[in-house]
Amino acid sequence: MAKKFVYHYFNIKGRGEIPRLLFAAAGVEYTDDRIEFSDWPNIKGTTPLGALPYLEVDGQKFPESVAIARYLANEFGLAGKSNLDKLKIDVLVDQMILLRESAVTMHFEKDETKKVELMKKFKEEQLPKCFGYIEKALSENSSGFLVGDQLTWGDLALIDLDDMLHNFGNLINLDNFPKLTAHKKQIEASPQISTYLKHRPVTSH
Amino acid sequence: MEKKYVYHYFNLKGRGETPRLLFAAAGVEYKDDRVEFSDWPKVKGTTPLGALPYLEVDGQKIPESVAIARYLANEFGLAGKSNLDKTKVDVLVEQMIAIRESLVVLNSEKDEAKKAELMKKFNEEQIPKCFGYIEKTLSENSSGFLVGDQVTWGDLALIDLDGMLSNLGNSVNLDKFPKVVAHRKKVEALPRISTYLKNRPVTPY
Repeated sequence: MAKKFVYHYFNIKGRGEIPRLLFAAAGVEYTDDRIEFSDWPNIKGTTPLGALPYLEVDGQKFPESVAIARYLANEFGLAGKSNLDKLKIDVLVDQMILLRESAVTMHFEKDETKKVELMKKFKEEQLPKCFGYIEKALSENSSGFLVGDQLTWGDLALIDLDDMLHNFGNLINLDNFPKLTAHKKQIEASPQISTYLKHRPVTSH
Repeated sequence: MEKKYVYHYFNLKGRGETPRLLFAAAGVEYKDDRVEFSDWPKVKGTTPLGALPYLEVDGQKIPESVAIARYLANEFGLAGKSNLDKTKVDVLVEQMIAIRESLVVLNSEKDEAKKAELMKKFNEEQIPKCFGYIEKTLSENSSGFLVGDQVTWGDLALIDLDGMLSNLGNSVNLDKFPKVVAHRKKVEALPRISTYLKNRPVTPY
């Protein structure tokens, strides 16, 4: 019997978009419960850890968007074929999460002096380090995907990160990373993803 | 043919102990390469991401201690029996990582006033939240393990965190969490773990 999935998150991409991309890539039905900020105080107490997103499956509630994404990827066969490939994806996703957190911290920093400092570190150290590692992984894999010869959740996490960095005031110039540019085109052109991107709600971030 | 593992980390528990606990729990041989701080400048350039730990397996170098731990857990059958159980472990480990990261930030804060603020938040919000969740999880599982009916890497990550919190100036009173206290006794008494703990190098942290 097919599992019933309900995915609860705010009506944004934010930290919660990768699971939605996974449902789309796998062609699996789910309830996409998008919560309005105004309803959040009422809902908070019903979540496992007082935060969003959480996934409901078989009557159980699971928080933590990365753990959810990994779970769905494994359920849908989009996690990589071997244990070692799964590890490679985990490592790549870890880099993306670090960069995301740095970008968020920097974006919301109110102290102007500190913000300039964070921006410098971001552009000169963190971004080149993360995307250098990703560009290298892509160069070493002829399929054009991050790991292995087919789409994995790592690829979806990457297009989501690209998107976020563009939303936060064009933090990344993809021209410096030709493999990454090609990757984005390749993933976004795949039929299920392309359709999903055309129809998903338009949100500020 | 058996895999050859070399695990590279400093001569500390620090962020790198959970993989060592995994090798011990599984009874799997590996080379435990403990890097001296004085050698670090030479070693740094040979690592995948300029940091430790990294695992060498099948001639490949993989960084990120949590990803390494998850990989080894899956290799050794210590990851949980179902995809849902694996996700439950992932979610629990995420909470533990958050505590660990908060402690690192706290310990490196130089401004005394800010440090006191962070300490208050740590003791009054973060510890109760994380360990409340863990205590609840243990209460709902009669085996005494975190997830399922046998030891998983989640249990090893927890005793590692417990150990870190009892260390040096990090003293946190976990007596409020009787299931956690019982869990630590139980896991540390498992034959392979007990032997490992007796024989591992004594390090300050």
